[in-house]
Amino acid sequence: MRFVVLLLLSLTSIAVNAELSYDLLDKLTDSPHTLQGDFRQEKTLGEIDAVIVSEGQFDYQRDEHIRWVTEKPIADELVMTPDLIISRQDGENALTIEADTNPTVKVMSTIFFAVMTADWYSLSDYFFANGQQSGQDWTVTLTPRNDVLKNSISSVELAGDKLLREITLLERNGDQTHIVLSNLNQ
Amino acid sequence: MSSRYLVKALAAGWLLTLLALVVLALFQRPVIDTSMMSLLPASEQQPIVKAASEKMGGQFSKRLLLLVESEDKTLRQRQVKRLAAQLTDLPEVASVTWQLEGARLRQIEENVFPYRYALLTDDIAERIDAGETQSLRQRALAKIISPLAGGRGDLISDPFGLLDSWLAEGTDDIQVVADEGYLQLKKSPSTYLIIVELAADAFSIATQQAVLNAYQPLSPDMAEQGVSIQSAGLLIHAHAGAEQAQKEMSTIGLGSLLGIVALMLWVFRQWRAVALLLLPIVVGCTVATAIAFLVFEQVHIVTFAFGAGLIGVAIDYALHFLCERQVHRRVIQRILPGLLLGLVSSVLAYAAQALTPFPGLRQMAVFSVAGLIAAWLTVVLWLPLLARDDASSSFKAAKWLTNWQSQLPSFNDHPKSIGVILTILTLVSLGLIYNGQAEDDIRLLQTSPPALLEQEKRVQNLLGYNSSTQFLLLPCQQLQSCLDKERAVKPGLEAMQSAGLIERYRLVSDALPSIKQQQQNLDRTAKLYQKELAALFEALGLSNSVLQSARETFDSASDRIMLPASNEGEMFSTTDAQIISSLPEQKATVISFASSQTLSDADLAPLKQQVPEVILVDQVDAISSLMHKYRQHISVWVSFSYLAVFLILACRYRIAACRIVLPPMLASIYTLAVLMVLLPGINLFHTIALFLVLGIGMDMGIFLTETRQARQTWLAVTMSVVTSLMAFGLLALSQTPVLVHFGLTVLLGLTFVWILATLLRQTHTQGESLEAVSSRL
Repeated sequence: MRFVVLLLLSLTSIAVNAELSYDLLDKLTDSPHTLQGDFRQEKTLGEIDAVIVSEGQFDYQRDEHIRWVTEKPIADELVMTPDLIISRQDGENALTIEADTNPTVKVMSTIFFAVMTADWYSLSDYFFANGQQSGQDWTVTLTPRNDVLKNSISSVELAGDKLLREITLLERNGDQTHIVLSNLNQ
Repeated sequence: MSSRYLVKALAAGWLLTLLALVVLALFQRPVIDTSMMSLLPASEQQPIVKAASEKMGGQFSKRLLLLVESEDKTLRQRQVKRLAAQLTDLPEVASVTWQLEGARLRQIEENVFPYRYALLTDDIAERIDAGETQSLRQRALAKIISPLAGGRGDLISDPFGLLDSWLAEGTDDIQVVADEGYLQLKKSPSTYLIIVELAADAFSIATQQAVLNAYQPLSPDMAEQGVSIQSAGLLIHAHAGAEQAQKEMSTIGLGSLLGIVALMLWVFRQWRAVALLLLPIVVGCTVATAIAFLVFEQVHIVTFAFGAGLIGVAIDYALHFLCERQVHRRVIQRILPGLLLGLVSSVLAYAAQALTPFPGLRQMAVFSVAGLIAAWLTVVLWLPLLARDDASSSFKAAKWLTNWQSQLPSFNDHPKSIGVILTILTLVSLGLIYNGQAEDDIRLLQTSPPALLEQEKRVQNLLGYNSSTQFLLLPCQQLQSCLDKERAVKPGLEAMQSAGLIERYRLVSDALPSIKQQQQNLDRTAKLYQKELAALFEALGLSNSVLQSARETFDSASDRIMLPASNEGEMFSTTDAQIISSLPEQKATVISFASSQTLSDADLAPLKQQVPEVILVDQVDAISSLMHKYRQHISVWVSFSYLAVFLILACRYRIAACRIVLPPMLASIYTLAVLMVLLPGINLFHTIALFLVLGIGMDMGIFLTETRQARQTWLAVTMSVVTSLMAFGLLALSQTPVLVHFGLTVLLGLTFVWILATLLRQTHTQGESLEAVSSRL
């Protein structure tokens, strides 16, 4: 069955050359049902030449949520569901964003869900992909397809093996967010 | 010899005038108005309310919304582009909006950016006032370290993300989001929106055709591909109204014409006579239409409906001429006094309408008077030249009619019984009218087909607005004080919202706070910076120099206040649309709201407590009450017309004038009574139709009296009534409520007129010649 799907996918991808990398990613990566691990995020703010580091854990349940629990520098919990994003501090819901009302947030949560689940094709709506592979390791660069996204995002770089290991988001204003995932447990 | 020459010269002169009128009218672009609203004057409202109503109505009337729905995104996008391309270049279209360009979005943000410290959401302002600045710092921290980017501000220019919060709240009630640059509906992600702003009048038939022809032919092809288009906007309804009315006019017009021709043929047994009868009608209608288009920018559909009634009056003259001709030669001199009186009384009755401050009635008056005079001139100037000396052939019909009529009871034979019956009927009718109901709600005259209204409703639901014609108006002398007053009513609006009275509302001050409020906000931001900025930067591990430059950035912009002009060009901004200026010192802001119910002044009590001058404007209600008022006016006018006509007629006929005036007058009373019984209530248009009953009924009485009720005259007036009944009987089958009201009233009225005239006829002297009457006068 999976073979048939792959065959179909590769057939369609012949027509759309730019999306070839999505097929490649699909072949190379696992799509886990659950995933937990640690993260370390470095936000480089171009303008002031400062780096803000945050660390914590995340866990992921397919089709349900991604929990992004920051421990340093402050305790903050971010819960993303396919259509809602809730930020909690000290158990209080500090901020709830309906993904529908905020296009940028929607795109970002789509990216998160897509990369976590290795659901690469849902990214194709938003990005052109261009990647390289060496053995099991791969890197891919996503560039936005439409104006609205281009407004805020220059590109997104992903790297991994069976699982995603690194995400780098380059913003238009020169800011850069580099996330490294480690101690991954499926 | 010279009089013969004069007659021909006059006839030729009339022909030239006619041609000139038609040629002039052909240069006008026909604009047919189908809006019931435009029949009514709006001038009785306060100027500021009127200005607001016009502005709000104008925005509504110029906008056409198209929704393109398909599960297939690529297909959907392609069709949106295709539709937009079809519409963009039309001269009738001012703009087509179907995409949100990234550059445009950035522009909006850049426009507001300089004022970020003065623009605080209510939530942030309240937290600062309550001393809960710490929570704002926490929130800012969380946002900065959040892996979900999308922050617009940066750490130096806006570390607390004030602008972000402001912009996010501003887009809260917008039901459209950008989807790859297309306008996607939040409530239906598989649907894109196209907004078409018209450059021309939505009621112009040329505009309707140009716009609809640009995209409607694509619709079957799209449906085949699984793409559906839904549309909403005044243009759609105006087009449906005009189309329906045109269709009905043509089928009803054609139907009544065929009926009339058949009747004429049966009576006169020659085509020539039929042609002579139709000629004044055609000329009358042509001249009336030409003059209406020349005098008025838009001609209302109701004017044409009323004009159909002209057929009945115009044919009177021709019938009278032709029937009399069967008996006498040199007929025109003989009947000229009667024709002239008939014309004068009808013209007076119709012209009376022009004196009312009622645009629709004025138009009808001009239309009717022009048509009547033209028909009359045609009969008097052309028919004697065109008619040949044919053998009489209508006498068969006249005889048949006389025989039939002679079996009917008459007042002369049974004065007591008929007198009693009529008195009782009249008293009962007057009682019914006195206790009768009126139904002045303009919504009952809504002519759009249910399917279109349904579609409009669906589109409105998807876009999250409703068709409420209510809004609140906050008058003031300076815009700034309006904005401050808005702040004062806001808690009341919140309360109404939580009570479920309104769903959403939109304030100008939410997008453009008053200067006073912005100054307060600047103080709040200063407080926030002073208390939390250092702590925030410390938590992030940022250096002192960064803190310093963030402070300096604030200091350098801490007096920037957004003024009305700097808010221009904002996408989806309604602030311009919501600010009303009438006189230099008269301004107002519109508070628009969505509600599923009709609000009353009592619902506004919490608002009025805060700001007593707030006005609830209800356009539908205003128009309905105007309908009410004018219904009463017209009733009075009709009565005055009877009195005026009676006085004129009394000069010539003395007491016999009663015999002329009574049938249409009583008929009108009986008609109203029957309508009161049949319908939930009568409205303005029933009373307007009574003018037609007056006009046709008067002609009938005058001609009958002039010829001392000669049988050929009876034939003429009976045929005139029957032709009018054909025209109006069919009108009662219309789908357009206004036409039904007209048709039914005239149908009943003329039937009563004929019955009453028959009852009141003079049986013993019937057939006596005019000479006999004149000799007695």
